[in-house]
Amino acid sequence: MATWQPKSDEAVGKNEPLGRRLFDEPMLAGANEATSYDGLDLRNFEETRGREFSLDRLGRSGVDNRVVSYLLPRAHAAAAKFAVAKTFNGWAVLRTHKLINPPKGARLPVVASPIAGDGLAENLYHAHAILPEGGDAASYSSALHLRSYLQNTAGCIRCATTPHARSRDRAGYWQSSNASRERP
Amino acid sequence: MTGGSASSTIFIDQFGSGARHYSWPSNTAIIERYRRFTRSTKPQILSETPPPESRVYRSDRILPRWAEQTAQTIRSSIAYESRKDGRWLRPEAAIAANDFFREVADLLPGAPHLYPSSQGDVVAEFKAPYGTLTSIVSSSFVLLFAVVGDTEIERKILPTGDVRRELGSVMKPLLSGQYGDLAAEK
Repeated sequence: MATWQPKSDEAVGKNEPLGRRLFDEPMLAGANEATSYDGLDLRNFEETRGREFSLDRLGRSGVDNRVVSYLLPRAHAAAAKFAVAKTFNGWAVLRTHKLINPPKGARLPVVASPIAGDGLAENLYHAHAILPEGGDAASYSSALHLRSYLQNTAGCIRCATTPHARSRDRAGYWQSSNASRERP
Repeated sequence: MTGGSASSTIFIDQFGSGARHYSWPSNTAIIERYRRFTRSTKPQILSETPPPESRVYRSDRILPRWAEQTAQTIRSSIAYESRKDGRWLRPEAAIAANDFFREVADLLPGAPHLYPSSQGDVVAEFKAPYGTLTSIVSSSFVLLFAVVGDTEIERKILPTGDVRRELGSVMKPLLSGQYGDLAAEK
């Protein structure tokens, strides 16, 4: 069966699983030792480049392994591009309708936005949610709400706390977490 | 210049020229100048004078053990110059965060997990018996975000706001698990 590839003009389906990339974030400079925290780091949900909250479309109706295989090297490449290189830890996943009709807060329209480019610069499965306008407090509020949706109602692919992700072998970790894919 | 005892003569140790005795009243001008110099700047409260009510009832909160360590961590994470590795705090946010913790540490459920936001503000994550609390402290506001079960509680506190009252209302469901009123409020 051919890999699902959305057409450029194809709207994002309400039931499509969308993934937010999770990266290993640095600890505070003055912290002597890492305190235990098993939640998701808020920085993964802050969008510093504007109001477009970047997402990956992970399949038509469920997480598609072939799409994930396509996205994985791109995510690792993106992690290496930060001012200080980070480690890619996986995706926090939720269904599109959770953003379009959230239980609370503003509705976030989701738009397909494939990225053209050569090699790993291309991402046919890119999409973004449009965040509400506002200042710093509004952008923090959006990040907190999005993290809450993703943490509480969605599943994760290779979703783990940073210290665990650091200590595990990357390939082995990927396989072991396949079983914990999205909960409906 | 430091002083010694004084009765009819006064002993003044003059820095650089050794100790000298000044007698009353021939050295009145010098002695008066010395008295003015050494006079306490704080007003004297006599035993008959009742202290002001604000002083009598001022709350001296007992801060939890973790508060000092948290303050130290924040202080040593201040970026005094531009840093882009995502490990540092904006000075004004760090100062605001230390003020915030000094004000409300006794209401919080325990030591926070601290990290900087992408903009250098202070993010503190707390675990409470019935949920989680995230506080974001910037120079112009404090944002509180609690999750209790499926309910989210959000409060934005401006510098003029009553931070203890607002935090207290957020902490109540986190400590008791009862959030019906707050859920309806949202």
